[in-house]
Amino acid sequence: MSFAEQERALLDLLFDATLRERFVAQREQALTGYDLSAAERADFAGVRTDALELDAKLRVDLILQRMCRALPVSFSIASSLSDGLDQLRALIDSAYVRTSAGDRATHLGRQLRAKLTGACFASTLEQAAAVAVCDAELSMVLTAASLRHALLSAEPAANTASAGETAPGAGWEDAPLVIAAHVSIAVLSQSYTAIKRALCPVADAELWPRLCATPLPAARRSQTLAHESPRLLVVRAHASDLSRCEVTIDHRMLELSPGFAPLLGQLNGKTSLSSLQRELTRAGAAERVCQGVRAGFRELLGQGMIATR
Amino acid sequence: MSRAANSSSLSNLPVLGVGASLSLSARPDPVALVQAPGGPSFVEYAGRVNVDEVRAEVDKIRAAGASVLFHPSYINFCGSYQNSTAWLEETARHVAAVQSPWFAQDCAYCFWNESHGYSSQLGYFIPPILTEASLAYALQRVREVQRVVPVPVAIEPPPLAFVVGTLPLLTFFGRLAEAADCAILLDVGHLVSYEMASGRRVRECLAQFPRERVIEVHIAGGRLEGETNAPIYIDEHERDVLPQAWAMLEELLPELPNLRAVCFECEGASVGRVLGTLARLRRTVLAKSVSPDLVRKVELTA
Repeated sequence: MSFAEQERALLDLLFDATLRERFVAQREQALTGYDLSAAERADFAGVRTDALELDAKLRVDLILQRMCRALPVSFSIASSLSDGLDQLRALIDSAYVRTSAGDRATHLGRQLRAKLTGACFASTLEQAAAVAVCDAELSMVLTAASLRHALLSAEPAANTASAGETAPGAGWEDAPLVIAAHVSIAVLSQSYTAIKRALCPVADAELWPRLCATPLPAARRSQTLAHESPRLLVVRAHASDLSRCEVTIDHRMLELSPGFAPLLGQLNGKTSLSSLQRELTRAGAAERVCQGVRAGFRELLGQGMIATR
Repeated sequence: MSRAANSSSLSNLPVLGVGASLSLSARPDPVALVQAPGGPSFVEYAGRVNVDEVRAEVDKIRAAGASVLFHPSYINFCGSYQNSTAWLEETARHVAAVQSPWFAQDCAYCFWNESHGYSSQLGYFIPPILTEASLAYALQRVREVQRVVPVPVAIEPPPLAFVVGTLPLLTFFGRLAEAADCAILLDVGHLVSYEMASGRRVRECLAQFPRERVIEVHIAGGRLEGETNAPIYIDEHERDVLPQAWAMLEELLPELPNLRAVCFECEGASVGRVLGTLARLRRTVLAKSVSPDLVRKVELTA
């Protein structure tokens, strides 16, 4: 018997659809799983079940409208699946709301990925493309969460990279390079920007209401994801606003030729651009390829996505 | 730094008149509205805890001649989950920096466990459980805030679609305000929502309710859902104010002798709608309010 149990029951009634269904049918019975006295159970006797249902539905929609901004393409793809919107709504449950606030987007992203992995697509290739996009967005969510945690835990070095572009210093080509902190890298079947433009017709903040009114047509999804023009997506999380209590995280994106993937894979704090270019030359790469690599690395460095050791 | 809110100290609070709750950096432009004939006498705003993000805009509003009230949605004024010291101290800094004469917020859950933050993480406020045990925890929460925030605290009954607990709403809030020695803000739409949720009438408990502690009233748009004979009130500021909310306002104004401010919550509304509603609010205050200071203020600005 305790007030804490009443609080637990209240939260579950709002976010546990199965419990709510049982409560609507037989409220006394539904609450037997809570350590409540008869009087504490009686406190729930006056709950209007129609209002409880409506309240729960409104809350879920508002939460999804926020969360959609973190995983816009994944949400759009999910909406195109059979019962997609209901499946998205089902992700906002007691487990989600009890997850620490900083980890909720990650929790949701992982659940959404599992849904996409188990869903029925027109082909396995299409499914792989959809899951890859979800993975890319989930990686952005993870780096954002990691940076947020680091900054709010007062780790002074967490956000030393400038949010904007900086010109690389002299001699950078010979300096050992590493992938910077809070950077995610993914190879996608095509440009993330292009996929998003095709599958998310409105701004992120307006996307959930739009999908509720008009889910993404499966045909549009299939047509978009069928396009093959691989790109490497490199994203760095950075804090655009930092205060004592909270931090706003934004992402800087760069899309490059997928040929950069193995090059970035060699950045171990000992490898410099110069050494990579020597290897490329030895392997017979043309001068314009080496210049392209230099330009790409210069941009990665300028955007803070790689760093000199 | 506790600020007692007994009747005499409440009477010393500034009278702000009829104002509007707006989103800073959004339409309608707060400064333009303040400067418009018939515009709000004060501007209330929600927003984030860090005052540095809003200081420039707040300064412009104050320079235009209006007071400001900070009315956020991240404090737990009820329940067993403690507020974070950092969030409370930043609130105090915010309130002091913008010179908000009091600090009011819905008495509800904005966060669960230690997920300190805005009520939007839960969709919106989760209302308090209306029981003795809940009252005791709410008292702890209010005192927690009063220890840090340098101005009187005012608690507001939140919107309710359904009710858990058997204490009447005004009994709960009246006893909480007396025990905490704090002020009260009444939102007429929220009271309408409670009546529909509980089947009870607010007036049933008005006689025992410490009406002298009510320093601010809110009115806002809403909509009705559900069956015609069993509606559910949903708070929606973008919509028109419902007749039930106007009726609740007219019923309450003659009962509130210490009222300092009446606020139209109108984020996202057109300028025309804001000014029209403010005009109606002023007429209603002049016709019904028993707060002489408020009536005088509205007469001067009419």
